[in-house]
Amino acid sequence: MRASLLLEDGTHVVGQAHGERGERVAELVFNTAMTGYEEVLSDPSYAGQFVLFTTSHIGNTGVTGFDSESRAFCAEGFICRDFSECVDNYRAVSNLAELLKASGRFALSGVDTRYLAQRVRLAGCMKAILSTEDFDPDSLMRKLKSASDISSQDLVLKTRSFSFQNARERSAFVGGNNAQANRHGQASHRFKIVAVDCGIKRGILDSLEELGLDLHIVAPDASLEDIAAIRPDGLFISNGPGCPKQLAASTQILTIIQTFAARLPTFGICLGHQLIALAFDGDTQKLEFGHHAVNHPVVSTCELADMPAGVVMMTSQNHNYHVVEKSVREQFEITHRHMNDGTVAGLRHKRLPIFSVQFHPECTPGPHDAHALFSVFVKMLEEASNASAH
Amino acid sequence: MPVRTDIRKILVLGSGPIQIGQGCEFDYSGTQACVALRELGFEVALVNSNPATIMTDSTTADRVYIEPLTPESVLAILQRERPDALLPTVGGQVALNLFLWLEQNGHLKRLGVSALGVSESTVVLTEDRRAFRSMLVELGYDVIRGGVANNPQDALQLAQELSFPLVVRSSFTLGGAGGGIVQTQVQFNELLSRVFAQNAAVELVIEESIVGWKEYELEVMRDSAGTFVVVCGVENINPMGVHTGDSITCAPCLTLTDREYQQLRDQAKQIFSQVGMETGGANIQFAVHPTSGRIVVIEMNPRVSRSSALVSKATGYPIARLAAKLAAGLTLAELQNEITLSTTAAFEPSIDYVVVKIPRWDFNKYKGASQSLGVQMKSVGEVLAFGRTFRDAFQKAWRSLELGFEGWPEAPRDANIELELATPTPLLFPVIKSILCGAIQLGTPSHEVIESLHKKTGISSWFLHQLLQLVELENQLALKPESQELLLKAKQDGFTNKAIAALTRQSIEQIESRLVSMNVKPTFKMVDSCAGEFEAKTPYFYKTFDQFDDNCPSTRKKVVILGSGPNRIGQGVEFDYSCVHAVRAAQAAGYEVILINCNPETVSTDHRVSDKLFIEPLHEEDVLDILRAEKPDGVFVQFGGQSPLKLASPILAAGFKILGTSYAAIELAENRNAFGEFITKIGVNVPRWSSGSSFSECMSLAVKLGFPLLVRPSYVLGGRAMRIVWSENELAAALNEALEASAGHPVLLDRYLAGAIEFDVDLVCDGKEVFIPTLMEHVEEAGIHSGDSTSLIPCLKASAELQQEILAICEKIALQMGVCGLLNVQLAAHNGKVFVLEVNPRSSRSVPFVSKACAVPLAQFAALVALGEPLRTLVSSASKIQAGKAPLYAAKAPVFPFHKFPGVSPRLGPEMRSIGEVMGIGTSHGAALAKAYRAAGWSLRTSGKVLLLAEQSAVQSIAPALQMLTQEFSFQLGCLNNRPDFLTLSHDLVQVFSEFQQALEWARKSIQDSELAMVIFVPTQASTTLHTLADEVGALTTHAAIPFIDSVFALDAWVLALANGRNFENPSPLGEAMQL
Repeated sequence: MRASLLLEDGTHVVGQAHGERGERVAELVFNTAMTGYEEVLSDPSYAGQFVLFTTSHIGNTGVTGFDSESRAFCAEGFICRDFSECVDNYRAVSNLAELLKASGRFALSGVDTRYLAQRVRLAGCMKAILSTEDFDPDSLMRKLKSASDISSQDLVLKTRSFSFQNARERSAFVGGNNAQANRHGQASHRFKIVAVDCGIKRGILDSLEELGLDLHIVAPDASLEDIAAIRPDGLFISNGPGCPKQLAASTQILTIIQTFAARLPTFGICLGHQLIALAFDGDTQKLEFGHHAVNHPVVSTCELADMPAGVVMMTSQNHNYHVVEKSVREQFEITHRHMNDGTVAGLRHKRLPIFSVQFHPECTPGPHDAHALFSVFVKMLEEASNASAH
Repeated sequence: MPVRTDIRKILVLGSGPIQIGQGCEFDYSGTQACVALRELGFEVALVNSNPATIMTDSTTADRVYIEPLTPESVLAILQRERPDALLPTVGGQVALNLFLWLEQNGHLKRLGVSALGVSESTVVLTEDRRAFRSMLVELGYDVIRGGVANNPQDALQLAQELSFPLVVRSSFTLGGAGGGIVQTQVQFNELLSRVFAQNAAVELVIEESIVGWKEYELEVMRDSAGTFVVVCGVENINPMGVHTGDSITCAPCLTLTDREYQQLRDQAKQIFSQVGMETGGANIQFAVHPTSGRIVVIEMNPRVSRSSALVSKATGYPIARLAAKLAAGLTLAELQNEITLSTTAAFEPSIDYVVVKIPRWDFNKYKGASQSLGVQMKSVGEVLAFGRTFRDAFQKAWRSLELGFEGWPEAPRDANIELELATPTPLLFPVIKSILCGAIQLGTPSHEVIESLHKKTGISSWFLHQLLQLVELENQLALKPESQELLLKAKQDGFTNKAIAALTRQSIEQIESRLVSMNVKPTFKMVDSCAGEFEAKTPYFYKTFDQFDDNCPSTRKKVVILGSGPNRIGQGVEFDYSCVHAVRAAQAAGYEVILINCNPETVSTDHRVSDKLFIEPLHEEDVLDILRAEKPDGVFVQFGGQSPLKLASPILAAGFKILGTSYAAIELAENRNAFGEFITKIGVNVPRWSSGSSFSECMSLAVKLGFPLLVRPSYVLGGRAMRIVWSENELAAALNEALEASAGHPVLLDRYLAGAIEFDVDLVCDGKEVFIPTLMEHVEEAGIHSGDSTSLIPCLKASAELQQEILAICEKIALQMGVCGLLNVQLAAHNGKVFVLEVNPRSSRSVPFVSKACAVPLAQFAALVALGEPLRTLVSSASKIQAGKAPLYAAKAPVFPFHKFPGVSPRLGPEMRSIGEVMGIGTSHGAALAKAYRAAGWSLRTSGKVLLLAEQSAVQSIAPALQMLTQEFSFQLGCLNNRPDFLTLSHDLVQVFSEFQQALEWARKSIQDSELAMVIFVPTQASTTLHTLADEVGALTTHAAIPFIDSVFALDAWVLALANGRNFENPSPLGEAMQL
């Protein structure tokens, strides 16, 4: 079976199709990680996007379920150089071909992925159409042009149905033999956290629960009353797909942040980081082609809890937007910076216990260098609890 | 952190001669480190005994010592140089061991020298298995499970706790098998009863076996600020059990999930800091159980290594260069990614291709050596291939080996399939192909074949499935020869046109024109360290068949230089040296220089060396594809040894210009008939010779020529299958191999000039004039391969007249042949007459040695001359012939890998078997020889026992040497059969054995007691007993590093060296040495 991909700039390639038949329009982003395709494809933040993998072989280690970031295949589809039918991993319970079929998605292989990545690098993120039916570039272009943009709100609502709502749910998903999930059950719940789920990753759930946090997951359009009724000790704003401003415009999210972050220790990751900035008068902008990799260096630019400034970490990143530095200077301190392009990678509010990072300290997939940052949130919670005790 | 200001001068330790397990990767890392440190403003001195390296060029450091890498010698240099710091992490284990000695004996402290990049405790901790293991346990990591048992009960208990197979080792060998793998309880019980019956006090170490586990390596770096990066992971396709140097490996890791990969990374990071290593590059090896995911750390090397060279080339991330800068105090964040020039070096490369490394073995040089691959490395070189997919890279890697393969080959028909699967040899993968082909023919379901192969070999089913795809494609091509889709797929999977032509039963031209009509063209992709995420500036490419091309050929005037491919016996780092020099010369002459090579260990495959680098096989199709894309003004084939020379004809036929010596002249030198006519015409002597293409023809020719004869195939390098025969019987025995090696070309028969002195000349000619920097005189007589001979500059024995005659002959040959560039001439003086033995219109192994002894960049001259520069502008006419006026005494000695091949005889002959070389520089021939022998690893003892194996008739010829050994020095002599009658020594000093067995026992005992100082064997024709004994004793000496001297001339040189052995403590750097 063949499939063809047309980019907004007219680039048209034809290769092998895998999975279901169909036709889809999405934004094309490339990811340079050499491992972790299962995490990437199940990451709710990739909703509405085609993932172009630059690494040569995809599918080699099959699908474990255990490593999934949600219970669904979140990306619209993917493109790779070589699609592996054969799987070698003792934890694999399935393979990519089956996963594609089960989720009604399809993928394209056998095309010049390096060239496509270079197109995206030069022309920026583009819409693309992937089809197993249509191989005519003109017709594909017409369809691409007429496709309506999916709104961020819809994206988030859609992906929220994919994301795990707690560790027990995840445990059920992977078949109940999840040692990590069992551990969560035994953890003493010191703090009650409201996590605003814009498409929360399993890795983040795991990381927060590992620290003994009692998570209460709410939607970005949850009412302030409902949240207050939980009587949370802290607030967490998750990662998620799409444009932060669109989401802000169409939901309660900024009000939630403004209301609760003023009194509760607050932590945000990726989209959450951008939303926190927006909630405190900051601005976000689209990056040319985004950061989608697990090898991006980030340096800490100030002391944070017991972590010194000047520490270089290899981080996992997945974002198309960034916080404009001068828009947050007044209220925030820059805690981390991307070393490649100098953009803001972490913020701490100057007065309030608010901390957020643009990259992914849960590191699924990716190096674990930044994982210790979750403990900053716990420290903030402890400090707040000590202060209120006095 | 800024560059350290408390140090100013740094001494860099090299790694010495090429050996198995220590190849030219340390020339690459050492050179990179020196350049990097000098960029930072440090004064750099270096020591290395290997003249064939770019590292020992006088331009690499402020002062270059070509001196033995022995503790005494390095200490003497430290005392002379008084550097502030020592860099011991870029010279392999040799440099680390020297560092340990200097540190542990207090010399570094006494001299106020600090070590960069490593500490004593780190080296000790990583080398002491027990300490390393307890560190891992402390960190909470899994280790190989096992324990010690002193009685059968404990042993059984241990076995019960572990699971079979088990590795059992003891203080003494177990039934002659050494440490062994025990597969079953029954075997284990048998072993226990046998072992404890033999020796009740034995202590057994019993461990679980990790043979068959997946094997991974991480190449990592860390700076003084604690920034840690994994440069790349490498996956061994051969699982645990085969040394990683003998394994086929690939990058990136292809069968690990991110969760597992990050576990390896976490452990590597933790271990790096736990061993106390502050900065630098290191290699950490892991075994991962395929069905439980258990991770066990195997070892850590706290230095750059063969793998780091490989990974540097595979990613474009220069590990040794950065390691040197980190050692000097800089941090990764402060350093730039030199490929993008816009991002930092503090990142982990991402690659959008696959690289495959395949080792190259040369077992046919070591008759009798076991070819099975295990924990001890046996390969002599390696190739690296890039592809967009594993299949593409895998095929290309096989082609790069230069063993005549178009891609992954099938096993020869006589291969023992089951045996190969059980005990891997170099034939393992060819055997796998044969099995897969067979299965397809029989229609066996593919999952069954893969399952069974996986069970038998431990190779991951993912790789086996990739291999199956290649075999299936071959099968389909044969069934549907006209399919365009299959043709494109074949190109993308790394098949050559020639291979496709054979499979589809079409001509190569047909395939080529089909590809043209399909508009399928080779494309070149950039190695950019970031998978296209950032714009890259470095012109570093590989070929593949994809849709779009990254390469933008310039319109500058440009040349292509072909490298020398994988290291092998006969063609090693010496040729890479010439290539790098040619690059520099052509760049200086204003050309853009493009280099093609596939050897990841070398300096030439550092993308900073040339203007554009292609890592590609030196194979006709791959080279021509590059030439067609780049359209160079000319191609150099004379620097990379025999590999590029073989491509001269197709390059010329494709319409490209061969620079320098014409193709006709190259052909003339290769074609013995034409050369014979030519040489006779110009009035130069050659030994009487003839050539024949069949067994019977050769036999009858031999009778006419008379014996002794030198038998050799044509078109081979390093004297493959070359033999000296003294009789018809011996000839008959040698002929079959020679005919086979000749592959259709005639076998050459030369009269062998017994007892002749051999000379080597490397010269440059521009067609009008000739520059001969010096003559090299061999220590060993003609008949010992020139690569295995010790050679001397200036001549020791040749008279001034003889030297003049040789020079005149060489000049005549060069001019008459029309050489433009380098010419290597080998000659022999026999009974007052000079004979030419061999003429090679190319670079040679001795070019670096001559260049260093005479301080002339010979290869650069050759490149410039070939680009049209007249010789007279390069050298003043007065110095055109300098022979006899060498400014110093230099000796080059060979280094052999015999200790890796137990049972192989070290007797030298016309087939080359040395793997590396060292140089000694001194104030006399003796001093130079003494240094060279020391550098080669001989101890130059002046007391102990000497075994003499010689017929009475031959003993007289070594009388002076024997007098010297027994009287000047205090050696004791053991002789077979006869006591040399001129020796008037007591019975204590001379022992005579009447029997073979007695002599052998005496030798064995003397070796055990560390008393045997040398074995002298004076070969006499047709003395079979003596030859057998020499072989047996010889094999014994190789393990104990005892000199085995098998010629009269060599003995003289040894005596000369012993007499001067104490003069080595006076090291002097290259420039100063020149003024002696």
